[in-house]
Amino acid sequence: MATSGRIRMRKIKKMLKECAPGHTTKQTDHHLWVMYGKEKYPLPLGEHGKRDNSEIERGHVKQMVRLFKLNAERAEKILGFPISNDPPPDQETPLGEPSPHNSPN
Amino acid sequence: MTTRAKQSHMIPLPLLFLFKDEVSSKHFPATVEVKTRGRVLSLLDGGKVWMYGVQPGAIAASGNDRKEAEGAFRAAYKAVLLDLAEDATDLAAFKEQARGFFNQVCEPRLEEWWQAVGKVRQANYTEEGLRTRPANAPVSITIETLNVLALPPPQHSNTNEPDPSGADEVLLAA
Repeated sequence: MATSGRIRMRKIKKMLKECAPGHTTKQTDHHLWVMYGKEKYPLPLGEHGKRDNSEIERGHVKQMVRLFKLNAERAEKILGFPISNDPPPDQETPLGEPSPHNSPN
Repeated sequence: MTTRAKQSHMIPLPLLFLFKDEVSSKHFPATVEVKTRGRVLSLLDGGKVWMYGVQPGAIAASGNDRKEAEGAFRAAYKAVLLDLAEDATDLAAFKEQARGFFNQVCEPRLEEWWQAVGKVRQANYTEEGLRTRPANAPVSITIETLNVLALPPPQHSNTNEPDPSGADEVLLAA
């Protein structure tokens, strides 16, 4: 099971197989490049850990789905998390208000 | 009325960046300087601050706060350039790949970016330590050969560290 905020590469590949038919991949030292149509996205591989089933931060997958213009609903069903990043209204920080993610100083 | 924020994070935040990288590879005899002026969207997602590339659009990075996310984004961009340099068969191929990577626009993010620009303008939003630049400032990538001699590359050029000359900049698009 992937750690919080991350997803296993196998699941990503499953999603790509269904939502991005005809895509290809190429692994380099630090990335798994996914090519679909005219676009390509470099999924960052960790320096350590299993390369065959790396954990990828969800944000990368969201960005890739957007870039490739894949069917978000279909992708969400396979991945198990929402692709749309619109935060729920109670998490939005109004302009000028401090957020829980302020810099340390 | 101007909305000022000290080290707060407006969501989402439309940013422009200027990065300068020196890249070399065993496949080409010169060190090249890559200057990139791009667009990126910063927002809170899944409890972390994410920097989502707009142009170039095939890149993203996260951090516990925006400074950390900016640093991660900076490193991620350099890592991509290094990957492209290692993969290219020669200098011309690297230039083509780098330009191709830069020219990928994430169109959904571009739309979100301009919506964020609208909110920044409406609120006259400014942030301490974050300079402003017109949102319609041109984006570009330039790749120049620094030297053609078979000299060893500068010590920092092929590390994941950004250019130490301090040319990097992230600005608020307004």
